[in-house]
Amino acid sequence: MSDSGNLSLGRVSIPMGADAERVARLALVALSLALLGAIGGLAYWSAAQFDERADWVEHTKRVRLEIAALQADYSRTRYHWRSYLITGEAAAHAAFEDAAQALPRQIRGLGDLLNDSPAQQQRLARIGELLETDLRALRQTAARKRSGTLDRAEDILAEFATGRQAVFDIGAVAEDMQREEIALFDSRRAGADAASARVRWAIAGGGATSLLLLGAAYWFNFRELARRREAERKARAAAAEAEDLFENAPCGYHSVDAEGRIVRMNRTWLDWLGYARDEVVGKKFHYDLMTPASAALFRDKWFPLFKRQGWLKEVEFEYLRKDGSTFPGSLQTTAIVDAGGAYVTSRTVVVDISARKAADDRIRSLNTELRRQAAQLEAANRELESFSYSVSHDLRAPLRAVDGYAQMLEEDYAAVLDDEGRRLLGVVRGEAARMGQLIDDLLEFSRTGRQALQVDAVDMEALAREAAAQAAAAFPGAAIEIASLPRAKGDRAMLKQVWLNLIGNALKYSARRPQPRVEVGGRADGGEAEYWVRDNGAGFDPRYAGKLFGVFQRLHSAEAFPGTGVGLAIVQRVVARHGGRVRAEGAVDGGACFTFNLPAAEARG
Amino acid sequence: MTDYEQVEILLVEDSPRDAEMTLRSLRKHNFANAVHWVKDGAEALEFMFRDGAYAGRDPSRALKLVLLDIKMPKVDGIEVLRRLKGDARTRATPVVIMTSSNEERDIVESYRLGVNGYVVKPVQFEALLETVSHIGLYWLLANRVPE
Repeated sequence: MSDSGNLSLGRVSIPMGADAERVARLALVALSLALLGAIGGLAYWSAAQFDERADWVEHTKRVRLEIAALQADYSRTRYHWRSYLITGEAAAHAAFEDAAQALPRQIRGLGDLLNDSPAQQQRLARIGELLETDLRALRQTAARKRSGTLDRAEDILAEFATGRQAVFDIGAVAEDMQREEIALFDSRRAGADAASARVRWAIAGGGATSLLLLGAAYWFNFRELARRREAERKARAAAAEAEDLFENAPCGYHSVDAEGRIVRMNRTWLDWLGYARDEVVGKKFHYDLMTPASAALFRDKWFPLFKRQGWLKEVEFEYLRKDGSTFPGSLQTTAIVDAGGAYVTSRTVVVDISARKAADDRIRSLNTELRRQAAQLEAANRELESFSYSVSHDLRAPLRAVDGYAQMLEEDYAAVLDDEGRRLLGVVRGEAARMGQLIDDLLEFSRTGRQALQVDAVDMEALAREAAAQAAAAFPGAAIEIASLPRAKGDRAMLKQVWLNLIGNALKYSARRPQPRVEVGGRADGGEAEYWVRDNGAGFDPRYAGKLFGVFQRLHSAEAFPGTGVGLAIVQRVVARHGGRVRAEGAVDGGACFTFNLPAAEARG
Repeated sequence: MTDYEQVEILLVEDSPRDAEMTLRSLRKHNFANAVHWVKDGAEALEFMFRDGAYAGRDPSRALKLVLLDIKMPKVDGIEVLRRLKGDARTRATPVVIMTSSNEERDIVESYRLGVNGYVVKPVQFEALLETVSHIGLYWLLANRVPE
């Protein structure tokens, strides 16, 4: 089974400039054909020339033969004339007359042959004249013989001399003619030879040139062919690449027809599903590859929607493998429509999203776990709150009873109690009061941890003055100096508690000095504001500075300085909840300085 | 049988110790005969709405004060407050919460429901006595309620 999909190749593009080259190639071929034509013409013309030359050779031969024949016939005429003069026989006379009468005919025939050359015709005319004169003389002599007046041998011999000059002259003229003919022939042959040499060169040159041109055309052709082969090779490679991309892309790809039947499908998709190509293509519908629930949804909702709007994006379905197992897939598809807008086929991509689903599930379970823990935390907080509430109520009530009943005892049985009895009752009531304070402070401490911060810009100077006035009520004669303080960002009520506790502490620990002094200062530094409360009181051993902020941690006895040890713990908790720090500096009997930082409020423009 | 006709103060308090101390304080100011003490919210509601054991109580005598604890079994003080302030017959009766709870949410909720006063019981007996006598003097002698 072939695994290749019926991919349509893109058009092979021909490089630019090839048109010009094709024109050049055609021009080369046309030029070489024209040259060959010219050579043919030249050859034909040359052959005709050659024929003409052959005619002239023949002509010259004939002229020369005719001239020779004329001379011979003239000699024969004169021979028959002499024979008659010697013999006086009628037959000899007749032969003489025959030959003499043939001569003018011969002259005329020769004249026809010589009409190409006026010079030869003149010579021929001269021969004609000489012949006519001579023949007239010969005929006169012959007449004298016939009349019998010329019988003597010495007269005959004398007569023989007659016309000798003519014979000589005619011979000379004929000789001229012969030479002229030869000269004419030579000159004609030379001309023809030169022409034929030119023709040979032309043929050879033309042939060579046209061979060159054809060679060039062939070379161009060859190059074009190579280029075509290269382009085809590239196209094949591109097609192979495209096919590989299609078949082995890391996603499922298929196309469906208007009914939803799968018309092609890539290998990745087939592998995912576990099908062979011929089990699916042309046989199965897209929804055949889904679980029944997904298939119903696809058929009734998504496919009609796809046909209507032409696309679907990230729709999730549960796909069904051949082996019956399932996996979640995300579908994206676009429709291909024809010019009239009618559906042709689809480009459909399916991505296996099991990993994402698993990750989602993990995130969901983590979220659930987080929510569970948050709920637990909230429950713990609620428990703590109700615990505080119980402490508040349940511990306070019996404490009040202890105090109340001690007092009732004191009131109702004063008569039967001695001083020691009254002192003991006083201790009971004092301890009950202290425990009540501890409970109140503890509750306050737990509240500062639980209450939501209501952050606002706070005028710390005004707040410090407010707290100082409140705290100073219990310490008449205390001197509190409050410098100009920067504004802070925080919860006003909680920060007031900080000032109350710090200023209250400073007042308490410096109260026994002859001149107790409390200084409150502060400064802004960048985004931070720093505040301090300094006193000249009892101070503390700096080695235990770290213990100061612990709950119920005290560096002084309750007798010396009353307190529960919660105030500074509250200060630290409030400052920490504002994102600040608090530190203590001091020395035994050297006073103390508590410094804390808070985020500064934005400067007002 | 208690003579309900003289009752001017209803003390709703589940702790007998706190009740005794409160009553002692009130007695010092001679309010003792005017106080009726119930031990939980359910009984308080029966008294107020003349239900159950209190079915025969004369509705014409207006109560001058309800002293209400919050943390009680069965029906808690907040619920009692909601019922009293939600009913036309009892809405006018002054209700003062007297509790150990200093919780902000209890205070906020009580005022939302229309409480007339909210007092945190002091731990010290002296302070408690003083507080109770202030409350008694104000609500019983100074304050006027519709007849």
